[in-house]
Amino acid sequence: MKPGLVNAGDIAPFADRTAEDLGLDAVIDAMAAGDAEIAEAARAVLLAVPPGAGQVARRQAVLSDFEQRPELGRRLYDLGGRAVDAQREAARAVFFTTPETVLNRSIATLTAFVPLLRELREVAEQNRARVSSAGLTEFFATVTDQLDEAYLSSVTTLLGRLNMRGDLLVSARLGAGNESESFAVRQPLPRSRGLFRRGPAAGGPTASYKIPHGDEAGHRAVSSLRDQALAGLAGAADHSAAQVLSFFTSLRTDVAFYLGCLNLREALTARGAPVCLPAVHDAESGEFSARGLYDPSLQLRLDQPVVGNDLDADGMKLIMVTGANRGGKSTFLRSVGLAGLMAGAGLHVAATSLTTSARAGVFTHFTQDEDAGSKFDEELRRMSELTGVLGPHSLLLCNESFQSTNEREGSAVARHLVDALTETGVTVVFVTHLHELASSGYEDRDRFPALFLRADRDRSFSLRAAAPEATSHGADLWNRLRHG
Amino acid sequence: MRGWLAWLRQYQAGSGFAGLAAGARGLLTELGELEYTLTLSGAEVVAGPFSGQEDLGAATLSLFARFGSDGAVAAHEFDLRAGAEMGQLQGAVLDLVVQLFPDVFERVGKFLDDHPTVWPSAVGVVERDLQFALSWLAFTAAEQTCLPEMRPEPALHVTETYDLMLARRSPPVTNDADLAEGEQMLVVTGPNQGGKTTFARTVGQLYHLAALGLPVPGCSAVLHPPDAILTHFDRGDRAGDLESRLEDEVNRMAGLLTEVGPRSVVILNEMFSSTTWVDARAMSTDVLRTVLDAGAIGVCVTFIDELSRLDPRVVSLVAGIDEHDVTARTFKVSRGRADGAAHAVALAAKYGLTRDQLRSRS
Repeated sequence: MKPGLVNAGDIAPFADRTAEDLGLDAVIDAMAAGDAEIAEAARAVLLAVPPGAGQVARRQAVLSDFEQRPELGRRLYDLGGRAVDAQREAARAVFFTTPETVLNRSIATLTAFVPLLRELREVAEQNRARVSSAGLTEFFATVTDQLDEAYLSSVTTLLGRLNMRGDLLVSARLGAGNESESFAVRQPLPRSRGLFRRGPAAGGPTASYKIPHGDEAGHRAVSSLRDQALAGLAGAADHSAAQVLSFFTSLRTDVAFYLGCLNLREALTARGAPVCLPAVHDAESGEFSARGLYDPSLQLRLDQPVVGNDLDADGMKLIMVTGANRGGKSTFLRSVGLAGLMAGAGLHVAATSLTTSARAGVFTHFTQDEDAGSKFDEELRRMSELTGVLGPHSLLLCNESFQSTNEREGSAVARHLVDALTETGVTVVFVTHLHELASSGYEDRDRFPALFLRADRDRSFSLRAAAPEATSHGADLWNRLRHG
Repeated sequence: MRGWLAWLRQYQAGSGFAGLAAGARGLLTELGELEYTLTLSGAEVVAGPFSGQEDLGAATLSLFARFGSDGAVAAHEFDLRAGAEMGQLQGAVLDLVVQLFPDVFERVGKFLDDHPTVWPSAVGVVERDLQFALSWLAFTAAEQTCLPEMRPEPALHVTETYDLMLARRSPPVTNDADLAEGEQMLVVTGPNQGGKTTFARTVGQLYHLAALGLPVPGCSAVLHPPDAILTHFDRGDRAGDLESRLEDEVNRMAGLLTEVGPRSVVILNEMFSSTTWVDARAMSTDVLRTVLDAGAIGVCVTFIDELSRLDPRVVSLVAGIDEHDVTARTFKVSRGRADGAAHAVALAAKYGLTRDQLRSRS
């Protein structure tokens, strides 16, 4: 039984680098709004290997339910939290992990979980008819069905039997060296009325051995034997408690992600910036277009709405961005990358509208400022690592890659890379000052469809479709800074 | 050998052994099937027959199985070290079990009385030399090999040689390896996946096999018995930590250089790949000069074209060049000038980032 509200995959390769290059921390901070658990959940979902379009739609529907009923999200989140607290409380008193203490701790934990499970079922029963997403509807149906009163009372009954006071009955077999092993704790058979018989079974012969009074080693041995006999049951109880706990923590983590989505939407709209739920289509569709796409991490640092860009790159595997220094190229690149991550995770995106095909992953190759000496080598090494994980439908964002060698050779290396990657189905967004790279691609644009965007020297920070130019207007910028 | 095998078979098939084994297996199964209960109450242990009481551990697991998430939760491991006193208690418990099932244990006792020993005395001889010779012949049966002519002075004149390990998988591309008078070092450059490392490994193999007195891969071979075969191969990318990798490499190389003598064979494969181009060039130049001055011969595989023009004692070989199609991989290594013009692309090739390399990767 899993909540199944998110179903996040494993963390994607190079996730930390992607997060850092794109400034994802600002987005995660806005999602968390001070709650470390939400931050952790948000990070795990945003940086996981993205799911397919179907799973994205499923998450978007759950998100819409929680948008309608934020109090439901908070109640489920709180319930998961109380389960974690109950487990901590039970574990607090235990200093030695002997089978006996582990068994008692597990019984205490499971006993504390019973009312929480009942409460969860009640929440599910109340809200079943009020939610419309497949995720929540299925989850509530499962809970109502699997945690009914009959089940909960059978749990209470079993927990009562597990309390081992006094005599302990176990079955055993002979193992290596003819020592007893394969212990299993057994429920004693009910005694026959009116007949008092000590011993394990009704009927059959018995044999007994008593440790002589004062034989300390013998008493220690019996206590060890008791530990061995209890170990299996203690392990089973501990495992069961851990499973129920894991159910509650998954629920809390799943819901935390959606609470984060709501927080982010609020943080952006409070600054007057638009957000939308993107249309995420099948990976093969090749769609990629946006209106008013902006960088949410930049927006979250400012109070006024930032400049957005439009993008029409349906069916294009290459977007090459050229033009003025400090003209908004890197910001644009980050806005594309963050939109890719957020859309893939099922979040709102920072745009007035966005249509995209599902991505297999978002990867970055940004210039690293430090250590100029070995830069070209280092860039190649990093790219080589990336090519090991890039595949069809990946999105690769290159920020001024391969400019650490001369124009001609840097262009040649980049050309090799862009050709081969786009051919295998990777979408590449390349911000560059390498004119030979940009212009050769531009001349080839009839054969290899690509979008060419240029940042202009008017410092509007908006990009427009235009041919690359041989100069990046660095001198312009310099003059303007120097001479007003 | 055959006699030995036949004797073993006969012993194993004999009725005495078969009866012994069957009897032992039967009793072990019977003992393993005994199931009984123990009631631990204070200082007393009561043994009795098992009569199907419910397994509470299994009941617990099955009741909570619906929360299961496929092994996401690790099982609890207890540290249950049995003290010496346990042996005595286990013995006492066994006595109780014997009382519960007297007839089984009576038969066990009888079996032991009947068969005091199991092992025949003659098992356990290994024919090492025979194994080696046989496996070498089997290993090279399908390949072109020749017995090398051994010269006292350093020599390397081999035609149509190849890497034995690769030949195991597919028909090998053969190359000549030859040092003329006054030449000491073959410096191999060229694109990645061009056969450079294979060539270096092949030369190392030649001397190693020749020194063992074995035939070597090739049509003809003139070699010398080396006093040492010194190899330096890239240890491969361990995640992160470039510094320690370079450090490790420098240490290994320093150790290697103290061993080099006039009769040594030195195989250097892509030295110092974990540092910058400029540093690697300076360090490699130094290494190569030391090896040349010591009078050793060998092969050096490198991405640094300058090394191939270092000295008259150096021969420049280029791998994988096809005059008709520059992008094809021929795995041929032949004399030629290293093409310094394609510096960046060659460097990209080192990281597997050329168009062809990327295409073949996907």
